[in-house]
Amino acid sequence: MTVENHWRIAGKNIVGTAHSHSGLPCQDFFALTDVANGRRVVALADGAGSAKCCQTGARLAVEKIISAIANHPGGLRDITDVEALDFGRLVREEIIEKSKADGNEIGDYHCTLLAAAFEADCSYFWHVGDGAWIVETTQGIECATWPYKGEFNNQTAFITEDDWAEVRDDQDAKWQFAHFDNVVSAMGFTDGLEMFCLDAATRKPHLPFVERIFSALRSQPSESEIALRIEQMLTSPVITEREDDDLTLVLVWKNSANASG
Amino acid sequence: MNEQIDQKTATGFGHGDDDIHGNADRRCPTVLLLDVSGSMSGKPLEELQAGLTQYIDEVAADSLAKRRLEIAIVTFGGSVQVVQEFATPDRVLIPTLSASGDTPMGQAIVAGLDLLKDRRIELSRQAIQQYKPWVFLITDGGPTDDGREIWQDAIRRLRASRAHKAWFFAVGVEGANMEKLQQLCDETRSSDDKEARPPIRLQGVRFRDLFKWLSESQKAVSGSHPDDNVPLPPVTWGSV
Repeated sequence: MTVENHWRIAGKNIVGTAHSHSGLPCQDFFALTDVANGRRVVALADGAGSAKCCQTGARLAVEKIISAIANHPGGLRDITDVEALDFGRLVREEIIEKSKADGNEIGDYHCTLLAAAFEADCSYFWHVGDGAWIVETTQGIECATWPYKGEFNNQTAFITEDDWAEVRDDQDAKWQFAHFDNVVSAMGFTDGLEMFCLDAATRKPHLPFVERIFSALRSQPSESEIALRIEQMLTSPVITEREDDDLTLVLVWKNSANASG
Repeated sequence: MNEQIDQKTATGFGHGDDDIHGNADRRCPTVLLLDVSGSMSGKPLEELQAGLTQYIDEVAADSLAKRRLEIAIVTFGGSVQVVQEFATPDRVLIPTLSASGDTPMGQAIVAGLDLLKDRRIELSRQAIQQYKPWVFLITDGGPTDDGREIWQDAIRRLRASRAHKAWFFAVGVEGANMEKLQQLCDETRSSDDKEARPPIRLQGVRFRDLFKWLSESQKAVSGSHPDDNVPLPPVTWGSV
């Protein structure tokens, strides 16, 4: 049986000016899947600059959670809390195995992790650490997840930490996940874009910024056009004069059924 | 390369500065505590004025520093005056300095660190990320209020400033009481702080070189991540 899936996904990551000046590689990583089991999956991760294998950590985490969610039997709507916890366990097992094989500590692979999956009538968001998922639904624009910043607003959580799944309260969760039925489009990003996309004081999306992006997705654009636009935005002075961190932005949108791919 | 992409989309999604959140920049609060006591009059004050003007101009011309630095200026000479509340460099009104009176250094430290504390609370309330703050003290003398309670207040505030790991720099112009400055520097360092920041004795009246160094240092810091340990340029304008 084939299930119609009209989700489009485009993303880009760029090396921040702070890293390009110092010759450091990009510590962000993202990847996405084509339609399989009626589902598309995308994930992104931000390696902690202080961890020596963070690039490998970010790549392994992204690849593992994509395969875990893509291969999950049953619909996204039916993913239980326990199964959601298992996605994180699988990622950690993968990284622990790699760290042992290479004689490293798991902490050498510290990274945040954001994943999302899209079926015809349900979207699923899963997130550890900072960065965020914002969704545009038929009701409006809202945050599906919120960056974890710790007690002093200056730290985050990593999937590679033992207490990654700790949820102290709704306002202060290291690990978050959510289902949405009526998503039109979505954006996921690493922490470098938080100050543009979010209003920290109200804990809501910063609408002037995100609406410009979502509105561009309504005209049935191709994935390659949006990927180019993302790259142009991330390298424009509006962004680079304010942020020198590595930047990753992933956009997901639903093309209507009669639109050609 | 992609000719079908028109001019508007060449900026990506057409974002302009108006679409950017007003709080989108991290801030680096900086307090300048400037001695304008009577003994500074003449050449030292002229050079201090020139150095200060050059500093503000330079950081205001840097694309990141102009949005990330917030500078407050407190002068002490006869009385203590907050001549500039915290403002980004493009909004700083460079004060015209004039020298007179004694050296109420303790009171100036209290005033400056109180400003800093209030500003840091406000920045936290607005969830704006912060760099380590800078406190920069320049004097050619010694405190004339060190026998008073206010001096002990100043010491207590410096000690409390350890918690947010401020960069505290004390610069002595010729004639400065370096022992007192050493005492102030010691108070800002906790026992586990390996980084010694002793007071620096300015060579002659090289205020312009000093402020050049400050603007270069702050441009480097404001172009970094708040957690990064940015090496500062070498001090060529003074000696320890």
